[in-house]
Amino acid sequence: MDLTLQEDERQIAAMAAEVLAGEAALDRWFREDVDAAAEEARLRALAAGLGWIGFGAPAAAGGSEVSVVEEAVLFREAGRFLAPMSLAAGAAAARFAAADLAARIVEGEAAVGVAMARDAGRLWRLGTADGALALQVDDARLTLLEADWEPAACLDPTVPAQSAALGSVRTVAETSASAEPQRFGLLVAAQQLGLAETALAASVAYAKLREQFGRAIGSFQAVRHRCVDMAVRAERAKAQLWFAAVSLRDGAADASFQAAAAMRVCDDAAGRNARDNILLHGAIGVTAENEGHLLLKRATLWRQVLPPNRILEEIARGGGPAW
Amino acid sequence: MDLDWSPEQQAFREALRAWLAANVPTERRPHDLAAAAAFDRAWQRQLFEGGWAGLNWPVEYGGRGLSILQQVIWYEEYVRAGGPPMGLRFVAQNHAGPTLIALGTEAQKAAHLQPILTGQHLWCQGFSEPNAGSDLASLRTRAEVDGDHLVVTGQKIWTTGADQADFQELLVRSEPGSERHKGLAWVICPMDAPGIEIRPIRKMTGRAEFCAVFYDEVRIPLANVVGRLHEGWATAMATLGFERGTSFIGEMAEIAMRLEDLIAEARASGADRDDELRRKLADRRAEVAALRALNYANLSRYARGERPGAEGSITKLFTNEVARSVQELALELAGGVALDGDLAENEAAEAWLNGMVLTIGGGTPEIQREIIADRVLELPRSR
Repeated sequence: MDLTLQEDERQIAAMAAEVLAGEAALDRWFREDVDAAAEEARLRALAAGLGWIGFGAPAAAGGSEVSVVEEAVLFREAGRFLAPMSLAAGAAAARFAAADLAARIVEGEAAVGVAMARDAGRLWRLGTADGALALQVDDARLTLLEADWEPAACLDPTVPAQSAALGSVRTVAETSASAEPQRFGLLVAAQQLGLAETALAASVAYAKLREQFGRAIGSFQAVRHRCVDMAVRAERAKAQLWFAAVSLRDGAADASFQAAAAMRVCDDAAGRNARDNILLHGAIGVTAENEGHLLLKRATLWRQVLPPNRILEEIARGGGPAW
Repeated sequence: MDLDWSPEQQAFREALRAWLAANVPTERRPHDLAAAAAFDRAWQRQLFEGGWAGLNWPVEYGGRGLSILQQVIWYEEYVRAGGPPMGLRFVAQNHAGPTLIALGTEAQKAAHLQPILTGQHLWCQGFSEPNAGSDLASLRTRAEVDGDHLVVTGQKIWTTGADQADFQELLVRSEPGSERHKGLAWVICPMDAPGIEIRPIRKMTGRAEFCAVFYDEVRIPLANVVGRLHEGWATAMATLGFERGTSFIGEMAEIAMRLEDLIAEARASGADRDDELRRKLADRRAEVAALRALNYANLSRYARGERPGAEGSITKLFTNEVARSVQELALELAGGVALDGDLAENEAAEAWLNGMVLTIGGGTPEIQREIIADRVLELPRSR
């Protein structure tokens, strides 16, 4: 039993972090001419070139067939930098789409958004403006679909979005292999963890820098203790993510429970850390020029993709942990 | 990363499981403290005779010298088998023994280690004072050097089992006029020494488990000082250091089993048809899973040779929080029965109240947060 990252896993993380820090620093969203659709296309091409979209995809589609553990290590880094939602959606879709389409997804040519219900009659497509593919997630299956998308604006300005009438939806591929929704759920959880860690790091950095009453605000217990609670949430989420990823990789009897638990605690860490980070920044935290709202909005988007009540019902229904 | 146990670890688990099945007492630990102390001594004796005393102590001192991962297996199997709580064995087994092994003289080791392992000696702690709780370094109980003795005068408080213990790990100010962490001594204090007066204090559980201890010119041989005279803070930090590491696994496993029992009960009674309750149970299940994962992550690092550090405070904070929320849920599920005033029979209420006792013991949540803020997040000091 060993839940520490091994050398190869650390290398995956370090390499990804270095690339993303150079190419996807969060301040990219504060440039005058920033365009979410163009950013998505740029980073999708970059990620595809580095083999990230096909990291866990079959070799027949040009993928590397790594396990969910390595993939989760990679997507935690993606989450720290609010990488496009299309990366995880593409990674999941390339595992069950027909080989030629999967290959185009792996190469970054075919973009995959995330589909979710908007209201009774319409679907959202989030995360890309290219093509028409979207991944739909429910407990039991992943579906790759197409629809007649029309431009729409999303709450999260970093996320290109469209919507379509339900009647225009066509199924392209689907998988009912139960491990696939869990695997995608862990990629989302990994990004939520990375996001929670970014929020923590931003708060701690600001608490050391910002002075009031003649002292760094990080010396006030009300501020310190809120930062600590953020750290505890991130630590427990990280531990559970690794535990779940290893369980899923190894086909453990309780893998689906462990995965759902990871989705729950990572989502909780992301949502609450993003909120606390804004509050700890005071007035600067509620401005559009601060990254706080971007973290909060992205955490909320992922939460809509994997709604907490659905995850909790899955946990309540299932067999629970194996000992 | 992996969650696999080696064939040797599996074999260890099976041997342990068989021994526990045959040996774990069927009766509950008594409610009355004197009877509980006798129970604790007898159980420790049985562990010793079965070869399971001093799990993490070196073999040369009569311990089992188990690896970190074997200890994980021990605690998991122990809780699964319904093994009795540490009770009054805690200080002798987890504090005094390891401290003496690390810093004691040969004479101190010869006099104390064996009786600790066999359960003959119970120990209590003597650190906190009425005005030295979270701020332990402000302690004032004084010990004057008089020939080859220390003469101790002052007061300790919140001493669990002082009236049942044979010895106490007593932290005193040995250098007159010294302040804070300097000028202290960690002394082995025999609890039957003349001049000691013990007054039990009743907890909100109704049990008189802890005490105030008064010292009126109590003479203790200088030979009982562990570590260097006037440098007792270093000894005390070593003592508390042993609390970290594996100490939370038992509690984690206990919460996990308790929660699964609750879920089974709620399913059987139909209480889980209530959406809010069902989701609360599910949420606790996710948190308990994360608590186990957090323990495993820490222990993996210790198994690789890393020393336990301030992350132990993260584990304690989270352990206490999850335990309390599970106990609150147990109380909610128990309904009106939970109001029963006979706590010997009302396990849900006693565990609920004890959750608060355990949260304060070993350092309040606020102190844990201060430790994490200083040492993990490296924020500017608040004090």
